[in-house]
Amino acid sequence: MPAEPAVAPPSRLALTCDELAELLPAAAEAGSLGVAARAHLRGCGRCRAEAATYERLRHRLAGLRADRVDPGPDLLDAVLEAVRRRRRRRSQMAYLGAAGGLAAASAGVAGALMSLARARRHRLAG
Amino acid sequence: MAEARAGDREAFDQLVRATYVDTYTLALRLTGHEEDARDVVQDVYLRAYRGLRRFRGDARFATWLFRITANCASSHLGRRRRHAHEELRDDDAPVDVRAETDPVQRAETGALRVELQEALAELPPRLRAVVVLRDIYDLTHEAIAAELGISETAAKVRLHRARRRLRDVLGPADSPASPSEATDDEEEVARAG
Repeated sequence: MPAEPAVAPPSRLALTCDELAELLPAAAEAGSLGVAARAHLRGCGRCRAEAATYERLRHRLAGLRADRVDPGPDLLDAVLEAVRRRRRRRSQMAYLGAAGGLAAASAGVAGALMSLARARRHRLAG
Repeated sequence: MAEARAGDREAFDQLVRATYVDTYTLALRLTGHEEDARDVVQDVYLRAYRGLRRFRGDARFATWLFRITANCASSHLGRRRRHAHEELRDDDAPVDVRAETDPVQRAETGALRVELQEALAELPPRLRAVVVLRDIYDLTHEAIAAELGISETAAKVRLHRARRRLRDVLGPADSPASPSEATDDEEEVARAG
């Protein structure tokens, strides 16, 4: 009995329209499809039209980038004022931090001087 | 840019002036609500001000701002979902983001553009965010995933769904190949085969 020829089943090589339809939304971005998908497209006008629809969709979406909605100058004023407030708070925090550090340093120096004075008094008393 | 990073206040203010309309437009597209968009824009610039020294300059400043805007809008909508009395559901229809305040621009806007804007506005916010960030603002999948706090796979799945929905809304009337053309094509292929 002769051996059956080793031919891959067509379903493993070919894509159906439904299978291709699943690939097209992502393929519109990748800009390329696999061999089987490209072969299907070559032979299927309907799927080519579908692929072209996705391509146009992406092109039109990219075109929306130029559409700008002006919120009016009051938003700009509000943003600049909020940034100014943040700057002032930062400056105040920096000032308070520096003042606090200075106060702590002063207290440390004062404490050290008092300790020295106490020690000297002890020595004199002794 | 360099002056602003070095702490020049006027330089930073100039950056705000130059970019706030684009930032607002993106925030409006993402949130779908004017008041939310305004809040997001304020958050964006305060965050940008804090983080300006960390901006490495290897990306465009606009892209960096878009990423911050995406992140702030996502956080804002998340807070709304958690705390608002009116929960923002995925099927809430947001406001129209057409440039209605500008009559000239409005007059020049084609019907297809309007149709696309409307279709975008009707998408659920989660799907709208990825398609807006990827297809309009050209952010990478990685950046979108990072700023929205989702995996890259999730970002791609959402993008896939968003494009399919937009295609379903816009496709039939938008297709240049009429059924007869498609049929002709198929017949041609059949003849060639």
